[in-house]
Amino acid sequence: MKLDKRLYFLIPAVLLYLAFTIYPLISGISLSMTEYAGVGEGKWVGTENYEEIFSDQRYIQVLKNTVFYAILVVVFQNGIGLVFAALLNSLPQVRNLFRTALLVPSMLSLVIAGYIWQYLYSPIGGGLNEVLAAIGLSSLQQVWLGDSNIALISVAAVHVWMFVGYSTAIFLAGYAGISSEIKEAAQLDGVSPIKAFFYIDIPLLAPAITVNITLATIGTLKSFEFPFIMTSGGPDYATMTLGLKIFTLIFQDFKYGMAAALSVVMILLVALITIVQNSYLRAREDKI
Amino acid sequence: MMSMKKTLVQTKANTLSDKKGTTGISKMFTKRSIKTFSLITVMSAIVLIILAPVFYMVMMSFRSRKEIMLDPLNLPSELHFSNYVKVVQDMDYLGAIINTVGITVSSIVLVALISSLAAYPLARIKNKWTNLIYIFFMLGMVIPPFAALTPLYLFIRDLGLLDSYIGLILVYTVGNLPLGVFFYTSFMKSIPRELEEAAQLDGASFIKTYWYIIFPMLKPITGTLAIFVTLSCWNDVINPLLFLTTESKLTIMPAVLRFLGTYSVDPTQLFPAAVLASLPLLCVFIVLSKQVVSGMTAGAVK
Amino acid sequence: MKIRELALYTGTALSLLTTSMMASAAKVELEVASWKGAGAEVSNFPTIIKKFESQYPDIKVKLNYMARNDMVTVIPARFQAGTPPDVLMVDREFISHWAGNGQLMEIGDQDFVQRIKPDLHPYLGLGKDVYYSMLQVSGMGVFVNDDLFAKAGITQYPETISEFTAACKKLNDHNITPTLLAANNGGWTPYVFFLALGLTDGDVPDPGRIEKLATGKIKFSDDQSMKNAFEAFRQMIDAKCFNPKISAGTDPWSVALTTFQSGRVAMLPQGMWNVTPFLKDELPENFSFHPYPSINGKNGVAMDYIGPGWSIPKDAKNVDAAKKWIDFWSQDENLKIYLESDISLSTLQDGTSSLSQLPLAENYVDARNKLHFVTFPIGSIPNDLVDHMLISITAFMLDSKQDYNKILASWDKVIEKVLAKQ
Repeated sequence: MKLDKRLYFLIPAVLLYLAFTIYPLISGISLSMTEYAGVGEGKWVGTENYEEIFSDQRYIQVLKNTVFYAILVVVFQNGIGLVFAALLNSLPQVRNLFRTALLVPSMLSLVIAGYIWQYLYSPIGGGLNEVLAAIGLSSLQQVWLGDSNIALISVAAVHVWMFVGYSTAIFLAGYAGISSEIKEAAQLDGVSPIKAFFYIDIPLLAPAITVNITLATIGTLKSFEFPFIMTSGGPDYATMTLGLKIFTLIFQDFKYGMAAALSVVMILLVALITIVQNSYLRAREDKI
Repeated sequence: MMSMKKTLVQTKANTLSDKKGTTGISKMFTKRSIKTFSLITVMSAIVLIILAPVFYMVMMSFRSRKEIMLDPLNLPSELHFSNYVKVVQDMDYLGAIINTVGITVSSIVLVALISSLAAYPLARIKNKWTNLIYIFFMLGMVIPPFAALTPLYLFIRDLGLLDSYIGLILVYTVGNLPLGVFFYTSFMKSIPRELEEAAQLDGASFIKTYWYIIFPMLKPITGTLAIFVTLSCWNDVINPLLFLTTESKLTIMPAVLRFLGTYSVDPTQLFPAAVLASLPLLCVFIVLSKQVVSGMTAGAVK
Repeated sequence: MKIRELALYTGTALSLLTTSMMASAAKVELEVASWKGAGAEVSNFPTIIKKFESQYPDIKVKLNYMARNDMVTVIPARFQAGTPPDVLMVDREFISHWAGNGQLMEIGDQDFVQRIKPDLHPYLGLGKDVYYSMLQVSGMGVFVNDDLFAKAGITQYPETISEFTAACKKLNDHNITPTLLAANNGGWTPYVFFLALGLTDGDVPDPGRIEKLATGKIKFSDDQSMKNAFEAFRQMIDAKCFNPKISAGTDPWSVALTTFQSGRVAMLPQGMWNVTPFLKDELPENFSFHPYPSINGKNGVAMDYIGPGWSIPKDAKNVDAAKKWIDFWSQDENLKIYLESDISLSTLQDGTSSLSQLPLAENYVDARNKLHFVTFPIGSIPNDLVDHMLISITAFMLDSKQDYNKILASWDKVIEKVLAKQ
């Protein structure tokens, strides 16, 4: 068989990808079997790092935190985004303006958003508690980042705040693909808007839902910036996520081998979750 | 599906019957506009709440240290531009912006070229191997950038590319390669083949076909890619901190962080620096919002 | 082809010639990497650099300012690349990492060593090897808003925990929040407070205690002073000296400072380095700086914070100039210019300490002079234990009913694990 000349076009991409993604990834696996402090020589320790990850209570908590954080963000960011999109879709007068406005937070840097919210969440003189007091809801005041029961939720809320506009925009694009005839038909048919939302909108938005859930899952499982800026993983490890743990292992503890081992665990986790999720969502799309 | 068709049919009947009674329509109209109005009000309130933290950042940036401490929520008594003056003086703001723009643009050009080239055969040749290579690239989308950070760092170091723009641009290019391959392949599949085939019949080489026929058609999806790459480069902190060490080479976000210092965060420096760092991107976004939004969503929902 | 080759050779030769000529004529450029000297902490560096350059006209100083946290990434990269800066600012933590990996030059033969106070010599490096010239001893203690104390009728700063809880009661009676142990972002304040309590075993604490604890010679779980430190936390929480949750949600480096400065709390445990900004802001209007109250003694205890200083990387290019730079800084007339802007204690024998000249720190300096002090153990406790202690102390603060004996036993376990690895 003669080789199709167009295949040569793959060479630059494949070479770069092999050199800068696959090679580091594979050497990461061998690094994960060592104890290495960043300078000098590494020491071979076999699977010791992995054993520590799965036996140490702290690491197990990190895994739990990460998954919980991802679930919170995926559910709320997309749930709220979907409601916003449904409302905006019925308001053509303001749709574009509000869609743009909702996207403004996602243009900020994660680090800067983290700093802003650290000030807003501050228990003394912080914006959020002061506003609650001003509108007579002092009873709702919380120590947002200091209470280990709610700290992770507070951090996840910032993530939702930042990217809910993005979910909304994608859902709106999905709405644009739904023919207006179907909607109008249902409306004139006396189908209540809520019913129409569940029985018409949601099934027809299946591709947008798939995209949104996949993007949000990948984005949250690897994020570390918010807990890094707002809590450093505290109080009492309540907000320590996988990404942040890897970051501190490298930059504060100089434990490169352990960081590499945790990275391998992270890849497996992300790949597993996205593959399972994707096959489920695609199957669901096909059904509809 | 069945029920939907039924409703469609019924609608037509309904519209016809409705045309008779004009009073019914105007009644519905006012009822509708009240509903619309109240919905708009609710949505405006929500949008304002969501934008409030951004306003808060801007307000804080104009306050004196004393005001921030004693009265954290009020509007600033006067606009303390001195905060900004100090930040611009102490931080090499313009330099950092130029670095960021340069690195971002180079990365976009490289990603667009390399991944659209790769996407051409992936979209056009259907066999086991191209399919495998495609999946191989898609894997890169789920690999968290962290996962390979340590070995990547050591690799760049061994190449002698630490503290060089080239090193960082390479990192960004490769980091966005899977996304580019994904965007271009799915986009190219939707382009009809006729033009290419005609060109080939005329004796044009594949390179010529790619360059004169395919590449010009990729403009919209290249816009989408450019937005994603820009966001990832502009707001990135980790990679520049790792791969650049000379202060004058830094991009904007790590420059801001470095400027904020070690032992305490001074809000009169934090907030103006935050505004200055976000401003260029926000301006571009607001001016080009329509293109950006359609670009951001074009790749997502086909 | 031949012509091109020729041109190439001549070009190379010419450029080599010119660079070598330029090098002999030009000044030595001394690259100093430092996390002080610009940005938020200018610390009179421009004056000092000018003075240095006029004393050594053949040296030009290139100050490379970076945040301390960035050094963690940047400097190892430059070590590996073989192009470190000529002079490098380090602290105890960096010394243990970098000198421990053989990246720093041993400089025990330099004159500055003789000028530094003998009681600081053990902290200049690792073991007997000297790796840096320490610039200052900073310290940690408790800031007091004098006006709020006066309002609550407190005339005497509390030296012991029982006096401290009594003061809290008086403050609470006047609706004044007594204090805040800001623990967001890592649990720093409670950790330091706890160490001040637990490392003190009497009125004049034994400076060797930390070494014994870190090497397992004393077990945490057998140590009464450590147990008492937890008891002290309990007493403070029961007396409502601070709200644990609010403390855990407050960032010690930003919000805690503004909270104290705005008069919302009466006392704030923090570092001496805040004296300068507080004075500059004139907020709070009247404040003073004191040692920590103690539970194992009758006097308050100051906590030394071994300050940063200069080191020379082993691959530095301009070693002679770097040594001149270090020598220059260890002269009282030069060092005191720096200390004026960054209030602290001098490391030099008979050196001028800016802190001692301030009446607001009288109580603190007095305690320090009477040897009522402990040293913050950076570099003396293994990192694994530091992480563990930070977390478990904050956790105890949030739930003070738990059994602290278990916590202490878990610290012993970490030590055992670290020792087993060595």
